[in-house]
Parts: sequence; structure tokens; C-alpha cells
Amino acid sequence: MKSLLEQTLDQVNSVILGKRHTVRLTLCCLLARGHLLIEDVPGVGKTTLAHALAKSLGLSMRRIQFTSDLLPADIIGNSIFDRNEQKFVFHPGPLFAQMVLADEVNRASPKAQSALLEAMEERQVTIDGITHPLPQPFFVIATQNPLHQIGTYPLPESQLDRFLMRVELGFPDRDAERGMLLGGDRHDLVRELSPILAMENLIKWQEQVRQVHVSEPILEYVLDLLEASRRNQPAGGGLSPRAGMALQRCAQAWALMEGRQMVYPEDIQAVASSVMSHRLGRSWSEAGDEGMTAAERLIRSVPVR
Amino acid sequence: MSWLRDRHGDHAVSLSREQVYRLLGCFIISVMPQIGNIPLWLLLATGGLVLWRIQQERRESEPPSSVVKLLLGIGFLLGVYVDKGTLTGRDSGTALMVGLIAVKFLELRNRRDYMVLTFVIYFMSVTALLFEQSILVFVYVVICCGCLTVNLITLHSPGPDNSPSRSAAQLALRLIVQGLPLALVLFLFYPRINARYGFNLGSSTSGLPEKIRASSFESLTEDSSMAFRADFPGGEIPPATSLYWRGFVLWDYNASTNEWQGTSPAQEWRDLTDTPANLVGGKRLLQRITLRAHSQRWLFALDYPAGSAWNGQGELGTGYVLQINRELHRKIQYLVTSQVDSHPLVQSPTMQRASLRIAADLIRPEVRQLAKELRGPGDSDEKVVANMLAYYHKNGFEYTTKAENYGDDPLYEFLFVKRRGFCEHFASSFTVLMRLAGVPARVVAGYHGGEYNPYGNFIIVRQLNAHAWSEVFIKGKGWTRVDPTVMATVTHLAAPITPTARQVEPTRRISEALERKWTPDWLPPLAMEGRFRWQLVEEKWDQWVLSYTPELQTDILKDWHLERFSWEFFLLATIFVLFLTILLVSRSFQRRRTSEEALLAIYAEFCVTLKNSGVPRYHWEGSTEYAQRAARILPAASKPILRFAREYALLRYGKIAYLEPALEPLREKVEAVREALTQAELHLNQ
Repeated sequence: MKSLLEQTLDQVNSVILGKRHTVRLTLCCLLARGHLLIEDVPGVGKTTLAHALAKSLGLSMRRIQFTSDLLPADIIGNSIFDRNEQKFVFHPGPLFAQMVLADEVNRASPKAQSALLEAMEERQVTIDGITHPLPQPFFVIATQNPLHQIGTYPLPESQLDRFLMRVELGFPDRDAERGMLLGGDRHDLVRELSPILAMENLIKWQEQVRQVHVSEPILEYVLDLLEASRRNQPAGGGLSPRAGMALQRCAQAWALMEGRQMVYPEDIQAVASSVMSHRLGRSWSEAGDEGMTAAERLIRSVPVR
Repeated sequence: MSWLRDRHGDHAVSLSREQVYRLLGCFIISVMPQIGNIPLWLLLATGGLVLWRIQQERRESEPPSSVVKLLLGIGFLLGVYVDKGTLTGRDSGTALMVGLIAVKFLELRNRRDYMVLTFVIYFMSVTALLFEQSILVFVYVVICCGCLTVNLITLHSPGPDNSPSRSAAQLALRLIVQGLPLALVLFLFYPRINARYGFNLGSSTSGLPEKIRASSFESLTEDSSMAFRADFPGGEIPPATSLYWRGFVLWDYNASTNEWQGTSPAQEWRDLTDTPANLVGGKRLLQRITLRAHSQRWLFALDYPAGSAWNGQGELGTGYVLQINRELHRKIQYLVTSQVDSHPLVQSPTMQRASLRIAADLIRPEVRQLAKELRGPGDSDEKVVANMLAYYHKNGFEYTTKAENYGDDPLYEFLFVKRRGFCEHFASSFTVLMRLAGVPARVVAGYHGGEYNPYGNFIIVRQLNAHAWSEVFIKGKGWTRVDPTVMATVTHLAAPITPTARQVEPTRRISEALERKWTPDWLPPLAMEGRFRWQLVEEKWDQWVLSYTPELQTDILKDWHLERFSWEFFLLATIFVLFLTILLVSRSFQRRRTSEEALLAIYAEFCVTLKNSGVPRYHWEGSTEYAQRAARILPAASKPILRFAREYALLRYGKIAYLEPALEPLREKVEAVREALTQAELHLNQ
């Protein structure tokens, strides 16, 4: 099974150059049944990543460009009266896809944002009292532009918590960029990708993630991290219990991707930055020193036993 | 009982086939030493049930219904009752236990049953010591217990493929060794139930027959089992000619059956003269005798015992025999003083009459005629004795150990037709003729000779040394031993006590045919030496272990001023100690962290090793990451480092429960890392 996963990753990496770790984290987030927030400037390949992943996994994909005039109905769809049938018929919106790319999610109004976030959480949509389940698997990749903040509605911290992981793509290094310039058009490349994983496999693996063994020392380690994140912090500065669960779930998925049936501390650390950075309060981010991120500082403050 | 409960709380977990087979194996080996004591029908039934259980396991069939099991149990109960006449006591109890364990095996399905069976089989294996207390049996019992313990450890902490691992064996060994001091303390100080007042533990091998007739020694001539062992605290070994171990005296001759008897302890002698004071001549010799159980009332000592033995329980009775007031059912050891080569001088009138009593009219005229011829005119009693011995000589009488048919009148047949026989033929005919000729005479039964062990300085007397001889009363000289077997035939009985003497001969003869085929020439002396050494070990065992009797224990407790504590006190003390033990054990069960601590200690050792090589661990670093970093920095030791880290992470973060002994391989891996690093350093320095 590892080889299948690795094949998938290799294929995605053939399109997204020089971002192996981020790609891996993305897949990990998917296996852990979480949603992903990518925070980066335009043009680094966020859309390409989503496309390549969806194509490789054989998932249907939709893209929603968030704008300030976007309405919830534009996302989830709406009911229109059908003359022939003499009743309202639900027309599903772009949200009804297995993989949804919500581009520049901070541009939309809070109303539209919360419609997306609710659907993400519930994995279903209720319109006119009728509940429509979203497809399985359901995976949202939201992107957020940290720059040009004027006229945007940044997601509040409480909303950020709904995303299992937040990753940054960042600029590729020189070699990767050279490869990109030499290579063909990204869109063509993505179009040529063929699905490697069957959808059933993905769902099976999502089930297996829950069965990866979390031993007593690992639990202790997670608890230690949570405790350390809250120590000497103002209210809301530390990690929430949901963050703890997210950490554990992601570490399980990571361990599974490593071909193991048990979680090692390294798995926690591998995913910790992506899981924790958007959840740690401002006081953590501000106390930065030595060029380390908040998550890194937190990890270094907790001994592995 | 909580400690019987499975740690994982899962009783429904079925046992693997191997586990069942292993327990069956333990059962079979623990029954082995007692196979001779269990009735054949019960052995066959047990074997059948074992086979049935194996069949069940192979076919994965359902266990029999409880009605079947109940019927089987009742069947065993009735069978043993019919067979033994009782359900209590050693023999019935053991037999019953074997049968019922086999029935219990039929319903063995979960871990609780497994634990119960294991503990019962522990007890089962120990019962072998009720039958025999030799070193070999003891060692065997310890091995059985060891097997059971290994099995028990394997049940709780299975090896990689569910089979017993080496560490399980090591743990079992350690448990047994740790148990030894406690066993020793219990052995020394825990008051025993004295078997004398308790139930009969069953009859043991018998020795000399109580009545002596023509062929009563026949079965003993080839029996090389030990009757007793004698050593001499004084250091002086008596000469071979004096090695007459007196057992009991036979007074009454029944001419119609040709039987000698008269050893009933009920026999009253009003005018007892057989006291140490009446012994003249000879010298006193102290012996320590280790007597095997023989189910009779005799104690043995060299001619003539001069005092009581075994703390006065062996009283000196008429005819200078040592008697105890009950049958001897266990091995004992006693000190006794004998006056070797002496003569009891005085003869009481009762004894005089008894030693001349003979129903002459029931004896054939030829024999009576012979008796008449023995005493010439004016011949003294001594001359009569000499004449009789001369008669044996003249007519070429032979000693033999071969059984022959002596017809209706063995006395006549022996004296006039066959002219060869066992010692009792000689002693019996001699004594009869002496009495007919008017010389007071009696038959003495006991043992003659023995095998001298030069390493231990003791003599082993075997059943094949059983012997009968005569004593005649000569006026002015007292009772004098006459051994017609020796004096009338060749002098082979009087040979010096060396291994080559006659005593060894019968045993040799039996094994010779077997030995000749494969034994190299140099082996017999070596085998002989091994035999002597082994006898020595057995002697020490008897001396230090088996001779620790309740009496001796009482003495020791007295020395320690513990005698005023009654057995009730010891009972309470036992309960207290048991309670304390259970408390400690249950606490150690609660403290399941110990193996984890051990694992962390090994990891700490690993970290220190790498730190000493310049790669300290960052406290936030996981073991795998640390090992990978260290392996990069220390390429010489990269393999053992990574190997260790893989193993450690599996144990630390994996699902498998482990016990401390299972960590041994991991410890060895740290050792390997250290070794590799040392090697690399040496290499660097060169």
C-alpha cells in the first residue's frame, strides 16, 4: 500500500516541483479526513496542487473563486421552481464535489465564509429544510492571501480551528523553478495525469488511520504539548482540545503513510507545525525569536520521554 | 480470586493448540515417576482421555457435556474406591488426582481453567516425593516444576511465535532460585506433621520375610536394591568376617511345613537376660545406619547390638534384636552401638527351653539318625557342632543361588539328595540337627557383608545380602554364631570386603550380558568408581536432607528457644506470611510500570553511550530522529544504532506487551552500539 501512496505522491510531485513535504502533508490531511488551508501569495501553485491531487486520486473537483459579493447560495446551490414538475428543485452548487478548491476565502463576506465552514464541518447542506449530504470523501482546500489585506475579511481564529492543517507553499527553490520553466504547461501536465488510487482505497485508508496504535507515551506527549501551549498564556492563547485531537489524527495518518501501525513522536512533530501554527494564539506568534515558528518553539519546549 | 483473573480481563480468549499440548506434556511428565503406583486401568483411562483431548484439539470439536464429565469423575471415584478400598491416603489420593486432572483437561477452554490446571499439576508433580525421596526424584520434580513455570510465563508473555522463549526459561530459573531460600527456611523451621501420628503413607518395599522357609530368600538373591547403609562415626571399619547384621531371631520350627518363625513381638519373655551387661568379649563399635522403609519392625545392627537405637524407639529385645513398636514406613537414620565378636554369656531357662524345642516325631527317621550320629560318646556340644560342619564338608555340600524344587520334605531333600541350597537351607538344617542332638540353637535372620565404598567410608547393604545363620549355646562360652553356609562350603563368604567380593557378584552377573556388547574395557573400573561416587552423594543427601526428622527439628527449635511456640503459633505465622506475600505480589502486579522503567533505563544507557561519543540527545528529539542523526554523525556505528532505535520504538510505541526479560536482546543491541563505537575509536587512534 505504501508503494501506491508513494506513486501518488510522486505523480503530484512531478507537477508541483520542490514541495515534497507540503504535498505529503496535504495527502496526510486528506487521509485524516480534515480540510486544508493554504496560505500563500498567488502563483505558487495552490490550484495546480489541488488539481493534481484530485486527478491522481480520481476525485471530482470544483473550484470556487471567493469574492466579496459571493453569496452562500453561490456556494451550496439553490432551489429553483420547475414549471414542468410544479415544485422546487434543488440545484447543487459547486460545493457538491469531492474536492473543493475555495480560492481566496478571505475575500468573501463572513456570511459566505460561514456557509462554507458549516458545510465543511457538517459534511452536509440543508436548504429549505431538506438535508443534502455532500459527496464522500469530501475535502476542502481553502486558500488565503496573507497580503493585500485591505477589503478582506480574514478568517477569525475560531474559524481557523475548523481546518485540520494550515500549510504554506512558499516559493520553490532555484532548481525547482528551473525545472518548472523547462517543463511544459502546468495545465497540460495536470490534464495528462491519470488516477492512481481508487476512491475505495482512499476511504479504506481513512478508516485505517483511526486504527493506528497510539501508545501511552504518545498520548502523554500530546498532553504535554497541549499543556505547554497553555502555560503562561492568556485565555485562548493555548491549543484547544480539538487541536489535540487534530494532532493525534494527523500523526496517525502520517504514521500510516510511513507504513507503520503505531505512532512515533516523530510523526507528531512532522505534522505539528501545520496542525498547530494557525491555532496558537497571537501571544505565541509574537514572542518569536531565533527565526523559529511558534510551533517549533512549542515542540522544543517539551521533552520527548 | 483476583490474581487468577486474566490481566486483560478476557476469559473468553481461547487457548492456542500449542498451549494445550504443552500443558498436556507437563501433565504427562509429572505423572511419569508414579506410573508404577497407579493402577493400570486408571493409567489406560487417563491415556484415553488425553488422546481424546488431543483429538478434540485437532478436530476443533466441542467439549463433552457436563454429564459426561460428571460420569467420568464418578467413574474414577468408584474405580479407585473399589481398587484401593479407600479414597484417602497417599495411593488412592494420587490415583484419583491423576484421573480427575485428565477429566479437567476435557473442559480446558480458557485461561482460568489453564491456571487452575497448572496449579493442580504443580501439586501433582510434587506428590512423587511422597513415594520416593531420592535425589533423582527430587531433581525430576524440580524439572517438572520448571517446565510448568516456563509454560506459565509463556502463557502470560508469549514469545514471537507463541512458543516458550529462552528468556522465559531464564525467568523460570530465576524464580526457582529465588524461591530456594524460602523453601530452606520452611524446611528447617516449619513444624511438620509427624507421619507417625498421621495416616499411613503407604507400604514400601519389603525386605526380609517374617517367616523363613526353604525358598523364602529366593526372591532376594537377585534384588540389588538397597536395604540400608551403615557408616562408622568412630572411623573404624569392622573386618568382613564380622559383618553380620542382626535382624531378628527365629525360635520355633514347624516341622510339618519346614518353617521357622517365632518372632512375634507379642511373645513374652519373663526372665529376660539379653542385656548389654551379659555380652562378653569383643569391642564396641558405633554405627550409623540409614534404613530404607521395609514395612516391618526390625532395626538392623552388627552382632550384637548393645543398647537401644533411634532415640530409644528401637528397644533391645530377646535374642538381642532391635524392635520398634510399629512398622517402618519411611526411611530413618539411627545410631547404634554394637559389641562386635562378643558372646551373650547367660541363658535364661525360658530361652533354654525355647532353643531346644523340636517336634522330633514329625521329622524323618533318616534325619534323626544323623542327629544321633553327631554326638559320639562323651562328645561335648562343641564337638557336635564340629561334627555337623564336617558332615557338610565331607558330603560336598554346595552353596547356590539357583531355585530348585525340594519336594515335600525340603529338609530331607537338602540333607540327603540335593546337597546344595541357599543359606536358609544350611541354617535351618543345622539348627534342626543341633536341637535334635541336644544343643540349644536358634536361627538368626539379617544381612551379611555389604559393599564397601572407599570414598564415603560406608557400607551399602542390599537385599541380595540377606542371610540366615545359626547360633548355638555352648556352656561356659555363651551363644556362639555358627554360619554353616560359610563354614561348610568354600570360604567365599569370608572374602575381604572389596568390590570384587561375592556381594557384588549377583549384580554383576545380571548386567554382564548387557554390558559385554558395548562396554569398552576401560569402563568397568570407571563405572565402579562412578557408582561409588554416586553412593556418596546419596549418602550426603540422606545425611543432610532426609535425616532431618521432626525430632531433630524439635531439638533445633529448642536450641533457638522456639519450642514454647505451639503449632497454632506457626499456623498463624504462616497465614500472616501468606497474607503479606499476597499483598506484595498484588502490589507488584499493580506496579506494571517496572518493565517500562526497565525499557527507559536501556534507552537512557543508549543515550549516554552516544553522548559519550559526542552526540547528545536534544530533549525534544524522538528516538528515531535521534538515532538517524547519530547514525549520520557516527557512520561506523550506524547499523547497530539504527537497529536499536527500530527495536526500541517498536517496544515503546507498539501494541505488544512485554516483560522485563524480553528486553535482554535490546540490552545486547546497546552493547553492540558501544562495541562498534569503541572499535571505531580504536581504529581512529591507530
